Amino acid sequence: MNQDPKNPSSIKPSFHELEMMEAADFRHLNAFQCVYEEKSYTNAGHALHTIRKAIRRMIDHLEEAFECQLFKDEELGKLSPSPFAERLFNDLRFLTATQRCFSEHIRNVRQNGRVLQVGSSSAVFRTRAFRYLFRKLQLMRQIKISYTSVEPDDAGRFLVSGYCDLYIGCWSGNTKRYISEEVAETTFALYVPTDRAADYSDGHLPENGYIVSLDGVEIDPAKLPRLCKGWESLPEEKWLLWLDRPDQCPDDVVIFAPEASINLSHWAAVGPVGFSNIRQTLRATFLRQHPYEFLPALTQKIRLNLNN
Amino acid sequence: MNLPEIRELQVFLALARTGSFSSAAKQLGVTQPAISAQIAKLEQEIGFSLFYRSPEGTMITDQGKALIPLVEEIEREHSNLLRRASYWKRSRTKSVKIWLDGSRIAQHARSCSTGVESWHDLLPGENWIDALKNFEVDIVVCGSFLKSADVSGIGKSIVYSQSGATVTWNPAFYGLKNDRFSFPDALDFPTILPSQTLAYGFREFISDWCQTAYRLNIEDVIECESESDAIDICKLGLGVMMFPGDTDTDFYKGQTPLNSAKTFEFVLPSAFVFAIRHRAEEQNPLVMKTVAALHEALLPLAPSSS
Repeated sequence: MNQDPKNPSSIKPSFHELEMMEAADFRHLNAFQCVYEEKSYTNAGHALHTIRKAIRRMIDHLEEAFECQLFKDEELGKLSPSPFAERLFNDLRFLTATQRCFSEHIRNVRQNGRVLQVGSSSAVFRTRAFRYLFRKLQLMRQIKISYTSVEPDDAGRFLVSGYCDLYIGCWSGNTKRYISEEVAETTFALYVPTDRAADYSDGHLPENGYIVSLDGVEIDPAKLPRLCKGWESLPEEKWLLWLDRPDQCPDDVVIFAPEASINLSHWAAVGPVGFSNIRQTLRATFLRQHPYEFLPALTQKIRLNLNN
Repeated sequence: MNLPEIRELQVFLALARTGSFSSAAKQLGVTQPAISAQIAKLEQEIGFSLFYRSPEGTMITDQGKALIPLVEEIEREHSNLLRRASYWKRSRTKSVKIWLDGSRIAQHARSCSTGVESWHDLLPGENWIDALKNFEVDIVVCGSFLKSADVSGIGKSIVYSQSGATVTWNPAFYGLKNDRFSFPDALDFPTILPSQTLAYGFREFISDWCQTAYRLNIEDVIECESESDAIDICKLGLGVMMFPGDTDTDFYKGQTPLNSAKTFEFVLPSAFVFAIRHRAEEQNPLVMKTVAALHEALLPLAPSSS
């Protein structure tokens, strides 16, 4: 007879009790309670959506474990419980009560909103499209939304480990392990620092250009207006830095970047109107086996909401 | 919602307590993939994540943490139910479960078997009071000090009791005299006392007494969970032992002779009680019959001084 060192108030069960434990599963005890109340195997079967034989088997299993007859066949097909069964039924109330507390707690959590960890890269986070989507999610009652910064390279790992429930960005998993839905599109704009915007008010563009794309998904420079010195790819972190420190941006440069919530005193949009046609798709990706059964419906809802 | 089975809840608790899949698997005696499968099934049934796997190991989510007390409660009630069912089974199959402490008298009870008993030894620190109340065991034969075993719901059939307290020391280390023993002398040295669980209120009594009678504080105290531990420490000369009742120094003598002096005999009339314990409201007549039989068998062995 040993105490469990991690849980000193418990005493480990003896061998006989272990045998009993293997037999006395909750479904067996539940079946027993049902038979006791209905006084018949058949009616208990109906109540538990199973057949009489299954109920009978479970009761036999319990009788074997407790080494005692539980019910006697009286006249008119009604069962009468043995004294052991009476005591067992009485004592089951406590267990049933704790199980009910448990169920209620689970129900409460599901009703009051389960925490949804949304992850995205910092660049995606700053886009107008993401901000709009996030606000929509915040207004949904079935979830409590929380944001965590996740780089696209880590997205798979974070989704699998459970740190992140839903990843928003251009990364889509590309394997059967994930489900990925298109939920939004970011538009793009040409940006120059505000203090130099006046130089380009006539519509001409600077000599150099940088392209910022999301999650490493390349944009073909051929789709953009020709520049004297051409287009170069700008890493996301640099763009995020320049967004707040436009003085760090070199002279005579235009940035082609996703429309972001920008500080107008730092950056201004310039150039021909036609470029708003270029878009990058944002996808919502989650694990196929995620315990949140509402995720597919949620992503559908987001897509429908945002398209209205 | 389908309620999770007891097996899944046990897996959940094992993982929550150990924090690693492999330790939980080892603890429950199953393979690690089995644990993963059970947890995944549980998470699907409940509808939210319970654990997330990080490089530091498996961490429990906040939602999982909130579930722990509820699941522990279910596990506790389930164990209680099975213990009661075992008890009813014992009543029917005419068997009585008995725990014995390490004393010679208790161990002698084994030889008085009438065929219905199943004997086990009490491990030190084991909570036999709870075990009796929970129907884990039917009879416990052991000693107790002061009020430690006077709980409602537990009855006892006293075999013998001893008064006062005994001060014991190793004469190779301490020059106390047993014929002209003076209690305050002992207070100069480190004191070996029983812990609160072993002798409820004894340390408090000694401290109060020293304060009021001698204006001295007991400062250097070594607390012990069992009398045998205390005797061992005493033999090493690490202190002077003060325990309620009589210390069976003859038995523990071995090669190291210890001296002792009896004191407080009138102040603590039945400090140590050796008894056969049972549930106060015991329904099984066989248990009470066994209690009476044990009492009869052990009474002749009681020490003459009481």
